Amino acid sequence: MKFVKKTDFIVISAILLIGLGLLWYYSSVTSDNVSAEIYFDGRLVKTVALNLSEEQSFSITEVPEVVFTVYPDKTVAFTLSDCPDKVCVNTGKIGNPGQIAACVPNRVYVRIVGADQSSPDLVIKNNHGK
Amino acid sequence: MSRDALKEKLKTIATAAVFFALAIILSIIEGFIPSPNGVKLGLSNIVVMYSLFYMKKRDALAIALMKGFFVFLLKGPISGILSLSGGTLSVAVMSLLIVVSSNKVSYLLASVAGAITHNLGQFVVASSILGTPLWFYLPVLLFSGVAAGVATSVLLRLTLPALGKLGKNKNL
Repeated sequence: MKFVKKTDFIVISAILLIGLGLLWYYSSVTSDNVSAEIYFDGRLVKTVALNLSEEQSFSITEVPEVVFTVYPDKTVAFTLSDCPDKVCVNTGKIGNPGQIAACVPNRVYVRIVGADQSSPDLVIKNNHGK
Repeated sequence: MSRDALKEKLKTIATAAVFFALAIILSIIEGFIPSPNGVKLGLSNIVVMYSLFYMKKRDALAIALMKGFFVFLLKGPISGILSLSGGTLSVAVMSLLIVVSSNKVSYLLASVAGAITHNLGQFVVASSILGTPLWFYLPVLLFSGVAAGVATSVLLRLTLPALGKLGKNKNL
């Protein structure tokens, strides 16, 4: 086996290009009116509008060990977590619709949604049939 | 079992144990290296790759499985499952590349493929645990896979003589 072959560079460049393309795509989606949806165990537990004029931190009752911070530049980030690898905290600030920051050990993730695609504030269920 | 066969078997077990210990030590050392965004080099993959290239493929899989179990004990079930899914997929894909290319794949490419599929395995399991595809992490996963794959293959190349003394490959 050789250490490196010429064709490797083509394969690796292709992989890097795909990565760059995806990165460009994720940062190209923007919206003026963004909010952050916080999910725990697959359920939406909190929605925060990202329009604060100053930094604010909070956590959710389901996982008090995890602290989120909303920034004035319309971004949100995991700022504290008790998980071992801190992937969530290291993800940093997110603020473009579609972006996700996740903490797998705590089963929490934050998803950014634009104004046109945010979840409804209230869902009225029809329970008559039950 | 003949005396020689037994001797050979014992040697294999002892070597695998030393290699596993080495993999654990490397992942502990890795913990001391500060990383800007939580991306890891996967230093223990050096040992897995060595086993894959110079010992039996089974030994590489055994190291990946034991590493997963070790992470489970150290960091908890979720981290254990993530390590296991990444580790086994990575070994499977690297073995497949070696077999399919009939040993013609380069160390570098096998290593990059191993690192990316390690991340990919974790990506799939993490996505299914959370119940949502974590597409946003995909580019990071590709970039860090390439970086980690290049780094570990270079390190493997550098440590090959020392690892060769530990393992049973005599013609290094």
